[in-house]
Amino acid sequence: MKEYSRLFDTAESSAEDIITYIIGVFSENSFPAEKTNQLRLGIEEAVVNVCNYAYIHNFPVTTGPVEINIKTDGKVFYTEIRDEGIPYNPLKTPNPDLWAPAEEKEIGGLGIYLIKQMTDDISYENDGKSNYLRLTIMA
Amino acid sequence: MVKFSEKDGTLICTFEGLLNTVACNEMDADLKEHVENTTGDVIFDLADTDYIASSFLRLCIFTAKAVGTERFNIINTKKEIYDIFEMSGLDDLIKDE
Repeated sequence: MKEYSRLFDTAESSAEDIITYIIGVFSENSFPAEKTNQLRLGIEEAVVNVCNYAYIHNFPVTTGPVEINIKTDGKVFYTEIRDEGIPYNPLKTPNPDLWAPAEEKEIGGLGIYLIKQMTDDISYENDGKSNYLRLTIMA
Repeated sequence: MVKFSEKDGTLICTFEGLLNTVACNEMDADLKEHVENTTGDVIFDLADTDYIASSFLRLCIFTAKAVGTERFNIINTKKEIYDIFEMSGLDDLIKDE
């Protein structure tokens, strides 16, 4: 099982920088190219949420660390996104009403819903200091 | 990223490339201004679009609310992109033959 870890700071790195790193690690470990957009969708929603909202209440410094830890055997990819922002469990966000007509749909909730759909398993933990969002994605 | 044209009163928005969060944020104001200022139908042409994030789905919901679903059509979706619309319950907006 190969292990990768990188610490980012949202003051210096954009969500796209973090997404590029994660996709790079997956690609390096033979993640199927045809599933890259599916991977990107799940990862992007998770990373953008952390970058945009984890530190938003820490005014005036609304940035902070985001650590990415990945373990993989080339078949299963365990990705952990750790931040030290406000405790937030995205799994408690209710799913959007998929059956509502488009013009009556709520704008919120879609991102979290797509993370759930695009990953094989997802879990959340807060240890009093950090949020840990753990995504399992099968190649 | 997005080009606007008009044909017989219909606003045609032609997208290309990766419509990730950054791209959608960049086009957000311009797209909404065009949609709000049109009195005709609106078409989103996704023939050259390879990826959409939830930010793009939100732009679609905004447009559906602004002009109504009867006047809003999404066309030329690749299968991978159609699947995301379907997963999100927005496939009714796609009017591909």
